[in-house]
Amino acid sequence: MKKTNAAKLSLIITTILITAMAVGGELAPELKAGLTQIGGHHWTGKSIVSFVTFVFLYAAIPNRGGSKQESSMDFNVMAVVIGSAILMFAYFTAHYIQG
Amino acid sequence: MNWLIGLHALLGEIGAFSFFWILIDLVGPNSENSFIRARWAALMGTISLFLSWIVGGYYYLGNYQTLVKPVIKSGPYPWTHSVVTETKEHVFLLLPFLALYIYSLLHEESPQTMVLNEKGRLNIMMLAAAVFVMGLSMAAMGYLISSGFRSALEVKATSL
Repeated sequence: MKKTNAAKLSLIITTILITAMAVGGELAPELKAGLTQIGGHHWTGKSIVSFVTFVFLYAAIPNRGGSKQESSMDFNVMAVVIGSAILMFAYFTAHYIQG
Repeated sequence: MNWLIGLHALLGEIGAFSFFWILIDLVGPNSENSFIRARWAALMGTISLFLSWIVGGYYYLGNYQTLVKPVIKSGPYPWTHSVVTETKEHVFLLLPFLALYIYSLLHEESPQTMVLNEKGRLNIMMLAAAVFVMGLSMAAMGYLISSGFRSALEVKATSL
């Protein structure tokens, strides 16, 4: 697998999409209903959408020349993944506290 | 007892500890063999996390939704569903994709080249540590969810 840049962008976009679906699905019933229609349950819908998005982006994004690893650490990937996890936890905690 | 929970947890922990293996293998002075082993660990970990996703999802959509969730929500710790399960079911979705990215990084260059790439090695270690810590947090959340269910059953049992 040589398409590291494609994998990185696919990961970042898919992570943001998962977070948007998780929070947005609670805020907008229409979105949750749409995801339910895709997979029979909203979680299945999120799973299918996230997997298809990652695969599609990975296939569609062209590879960048040169070695990515020599240029930088992936702090942006870490920020998006850890930030998304904290955001989802914070949202569901607040949602529960507010009743 | 439900064997699907055990299988989900087992696959998840194999996934998490595969990335811990990568972390340990790349610490300090390493050889080409370190990167070759790390590639195999990444493959095993990535496959395990995808399988854990499928098995966990099958359980979540079946027994959990119909039997476990209503009991937890009627018990003394409903937050173990409303906060912990909701967080776990979504944060888990991030892990297989992050694992795939690490797998792709480990195949970007030949092991001979990777030995000389200090920043690349540190980068892979940082990402592998994230998968490991998030994987362990999944196990901790699973414990909390099981405790919420068990506490609800204990309340029901003592009120009989």
